Amino acid sequence: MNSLGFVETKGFVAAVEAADAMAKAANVTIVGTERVGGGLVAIIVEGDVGSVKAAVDAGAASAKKVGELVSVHVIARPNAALEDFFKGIREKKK
Amino acid sequence: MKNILTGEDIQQAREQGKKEVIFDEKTIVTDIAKEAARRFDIQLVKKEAAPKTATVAEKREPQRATRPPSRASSGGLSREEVMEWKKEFPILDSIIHVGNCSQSPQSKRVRQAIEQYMESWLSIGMDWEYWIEGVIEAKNEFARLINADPVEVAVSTSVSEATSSIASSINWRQEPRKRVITTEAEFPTVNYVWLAHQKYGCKVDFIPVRNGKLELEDYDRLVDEETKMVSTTHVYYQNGFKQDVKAIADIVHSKGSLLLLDDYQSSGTHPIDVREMDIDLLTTGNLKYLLGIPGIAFIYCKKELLEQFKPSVTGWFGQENPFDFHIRYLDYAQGARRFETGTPPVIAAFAANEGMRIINEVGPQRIKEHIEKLSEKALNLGSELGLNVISPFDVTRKGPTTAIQVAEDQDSHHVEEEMKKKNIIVSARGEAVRVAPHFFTLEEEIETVMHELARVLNE
Ligand SMILES: Cc1ncc(COP(=O)(O)O)c(C=O)c1O
Repeated sequence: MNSLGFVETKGFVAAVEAADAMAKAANVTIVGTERVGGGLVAIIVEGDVGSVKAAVDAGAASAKKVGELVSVHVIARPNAALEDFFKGIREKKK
Repeated sequence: MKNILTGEDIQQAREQGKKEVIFDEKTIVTDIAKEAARRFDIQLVKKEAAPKTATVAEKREPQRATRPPSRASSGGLSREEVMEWKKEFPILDSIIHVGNCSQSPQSKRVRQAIEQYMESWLSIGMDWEYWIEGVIEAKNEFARLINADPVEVAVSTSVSEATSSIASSINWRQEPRKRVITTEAEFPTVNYVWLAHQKYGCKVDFIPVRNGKLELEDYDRLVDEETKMVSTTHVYYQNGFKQDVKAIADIVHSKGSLLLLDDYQSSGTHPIDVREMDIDLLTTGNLKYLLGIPGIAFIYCKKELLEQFKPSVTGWFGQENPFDFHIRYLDYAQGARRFETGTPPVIAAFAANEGMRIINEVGPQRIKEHIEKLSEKALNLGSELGLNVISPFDVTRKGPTTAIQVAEDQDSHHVEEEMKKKNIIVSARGEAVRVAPHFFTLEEEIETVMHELARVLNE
């Protein structure tokens, strides 16, 4: 499984800004956007580890400018079990 | 809420001239931010400062113990031949020059070539025919060096410009394959060119450096049917790691992608046969092992591929007939000359031509064998002396550079200066000191260099 990257923001606009910056910065796929509740939105991307790191960094920098950035995280080698979890998210979105 | 430090924050700190960025324990520092801090020499300081001495001790741990001693093939130049060639480079009378990964010493012949240009400019005044002939001769000599047809060769001014010409010649908006795979072992300039082209729609991915090397498995894993080009270096400028170009070409071509090789750290020290190695595009410059001066570089492009490349980094010398002076349309040259831009670097071409003649005379295969012997000496002696050698120990997988990592509290540039006082030219880069000999280096000189280096590092 590829690496996963997360950027969590407070509010939708910052999240969209982050997603845009992430997709532009590196070769990553946006796997999902999760509304966590309380106005928190998480953007999740997938790709090789270098790209994911670059995307998360760019996403964080952009989100900070337009809204509130809550957290960032990279999982370089996700456990295979996570794959099913994200498949669930993807299917839910369809 | 957590504070998050990104690469951009470090960039800003740098622009403000800061030498350190302080953060608290709640702050998340992204890997990109850490990398930027390392590159710009900015200290990341956690508020309740971590114990520093521990990390220094960790870093100094020698990491070579389990490596097998290396073995080189026999061959190379005899002592007599080396002594004879030394006469060609006056500075070698008094200096041991092992900074060839950065700039080679001046030879009498290259100097004479430059003087020929100066003389023609002085006495004839304007002598374009002769000057342009000099550029063409340099291209021919380069073609000979890599076994290409001269029509497959273009002249450029630096590897940066050469790579830009190539990157700009792909219509990224229309190109169905959008990916460019480059590597973490590139000389950074190459990466900057590709990253700058992301705004036109290409996507850049990196082959990681693992233990100072690039692995074929990673090429196999990352290069895919979406990949337009794989842009990689023959030899890693940091530690001399040398790749198996043919094996990479096979992987790249099996995915229908193209191979662009940066040969700067190898040219002049390793035989290149673009056909046998199946290289699609190659760039290199002349001031390192090709014995030339700054200001010139070359592009090779396989004949069959030429037509698809339409550079927007361009100019009149890239046109089929530069002296047509048409103004309403583009008419790219049939050959690789389509990658050329403006008035070529004439004086550098005179120097480059003579430098490459010397290399072709000595013979890249023999130079390679000679350098493998010197590498064996440098690696094994470096180990024995307890130096932190960060180059591959298999001499067939390394170019001339043997890199010694300095301790955290040492400055590689200071080491370079100290060595200069001992009449030895080495080349500092980041945290390493590079020892990069050439065909005019003797084994006993490598011994002197390594012993002096150990002395300076232990002072
Ligand atoms: C492998 C490699 N490529 C490129 C360069 C620099 O290229 P240029 O300055 O010609 O753009 C260097 C210089 O050290 C290098 O070692």
